[in-house]
Amino acid sequence: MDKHYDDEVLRVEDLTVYYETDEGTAKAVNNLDLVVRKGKTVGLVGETGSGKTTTALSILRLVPDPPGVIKSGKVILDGMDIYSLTEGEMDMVRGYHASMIFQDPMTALNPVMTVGDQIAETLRIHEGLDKKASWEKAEEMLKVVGIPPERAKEFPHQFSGGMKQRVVIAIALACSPKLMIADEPTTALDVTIQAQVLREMKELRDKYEMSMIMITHDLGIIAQMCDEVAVIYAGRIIEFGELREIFKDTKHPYTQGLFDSLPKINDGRDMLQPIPGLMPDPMELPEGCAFAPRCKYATEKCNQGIPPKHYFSDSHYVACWRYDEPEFKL
Amino acid sequence: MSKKKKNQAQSTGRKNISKGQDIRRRFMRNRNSVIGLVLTAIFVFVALAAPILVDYDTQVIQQSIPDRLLQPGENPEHPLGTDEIGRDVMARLIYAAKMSLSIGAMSVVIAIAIGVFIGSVAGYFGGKVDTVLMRLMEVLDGVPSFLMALTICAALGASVYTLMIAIAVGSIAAQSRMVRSAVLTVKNNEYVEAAKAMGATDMQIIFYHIIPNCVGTIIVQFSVKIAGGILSASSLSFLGLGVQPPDPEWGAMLSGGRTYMLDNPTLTLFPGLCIMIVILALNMLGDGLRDSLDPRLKG
Repeated sequence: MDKHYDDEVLRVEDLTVYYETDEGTAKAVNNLDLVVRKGKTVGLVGETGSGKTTTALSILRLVPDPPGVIKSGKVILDGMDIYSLTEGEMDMVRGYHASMIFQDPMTALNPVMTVGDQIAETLRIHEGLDKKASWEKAEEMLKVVGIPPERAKEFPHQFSGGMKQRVVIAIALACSPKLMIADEPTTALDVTIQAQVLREMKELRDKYEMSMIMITHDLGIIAQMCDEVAVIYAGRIIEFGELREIFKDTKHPYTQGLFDSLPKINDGRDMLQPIPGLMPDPMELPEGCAFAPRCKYATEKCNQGIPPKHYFSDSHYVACWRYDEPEFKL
Repeated sequence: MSKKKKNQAQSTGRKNISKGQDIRRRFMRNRNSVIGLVLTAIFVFVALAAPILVDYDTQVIQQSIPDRLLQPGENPEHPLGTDEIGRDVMARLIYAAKMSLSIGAMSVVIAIAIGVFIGSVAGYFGGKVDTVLMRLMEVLDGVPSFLMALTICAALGASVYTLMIAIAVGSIAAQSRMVRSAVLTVKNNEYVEAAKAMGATDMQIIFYHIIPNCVGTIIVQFSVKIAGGILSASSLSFLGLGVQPPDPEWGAMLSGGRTYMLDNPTLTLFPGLCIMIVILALNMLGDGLRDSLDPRLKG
């Protein structure tokens, strides 16, 4: 369990989510703990299938059920115990206390509704504004994300990808939520637009003093956007720390592997060092450390039992057996 | 500042290709669908204007034994001839257009309204709700629809309204299944999940996000099924269960003219032609609408 802070916006404790299908049980998220503090951005970084998105969906209780089952865990969002709310109360939480930006702006907007209506819809649901007031606020929100307000009456297909993502951001921001969950918000955009959208998000985050969970597999985005980083592997956080600690003082062999598989600009002659092997099948997770089969530091012990957390500072911990040995270094 | 200006220029430059215009353009490019639209428009116009074009009491139901069974062209007052009791065929055909089209349209409106409700609830909620509703629909579908319509007409007594209900009941199952399949495709879109993540309730999602995205399918079904409705109405009237004399109806006129088919073939020919042309026109219109509303066929 993570340390308690006075200004925490989100607290996830011991979250376990399984997908139960006829073929077997996929253990998507396993005993995950996470704390997000006010105004801070936490990056969730990990490979495809590591459980990043499932974690995000669990926070808003949007895990598709069936097959998704939340086995255990507690989510405290803005002081509310999310898993004890009714479905109706949950509708009031979504979009108001926490909202979500989806990966693909091409599909995240309803093609037959004007963008203005889509922003206004959220406002009507949560702020109880009437048609006119919500429309005016919607135009204002478009202006905030850098789109001329007169385009509010246009349809999504009349916008480019980057502008659509800004509209999605405008919808997510409309009710100034405490927490914004961005699920790979720029994956579907090209690099130049990506930079613009990220800059925009950063400014808005600071302006509205929001907390943010940034899900991505791009370490560059993490470096640009986040205050704290959680590295996820096979549904567990294997290393957590402040941005500097993760980037300058990497502790987990997997995190190190992620950095080694990026090209370095200063030293163009080196070969990249990919992490050998693939992530384990979530239906058949190994008994011990899930990374052990791919880890060059692995010992016998790594295959026996889940590794405990080792703290290097108040904020920085790593889940690895080898740090039981005081002299161990990457 | 300069960036803002550019955005505005972009927005005004692109405004001339709205979605509606795009659909219209694709529809107009297809000759068959335009023919279908024009013919349907003519029939709808005639049906709407029927009370003005012909006088019910003096033309449609006025009997005149001396003028009975006139051939077309024999008497300029009756351009399409008269039937076995001397009523003007032209006037009756025009008045029947109103009957047939309104029965066809109303029965489809009823069937689609119920079908959209059942189909979207079943498709959106899935699971047990879906199973129960769809099994019920299968039970309904198990009875041959024509037999069902016959039974309803016989039980409730023959009238225009029973006819509408009878025909509607027969196609509720097909409509629900069609709407359900459209909903199943739409509900997996990310914008539905996004709406959920923004706190929209199930009903808001169904009404604002799912049904509007199924409208294309529903419109196409509407134009195609009206044809079926008109055909069923004519069949039932032909059997004497639909529109009751002295009101004219194409099927009933066809049935009435059967006896005189050898001497006066035009008595069966004209109502038959009307049924055929309307159905052809509606089918052509429906095909055209489907092609232009389906974004996958965008060219």
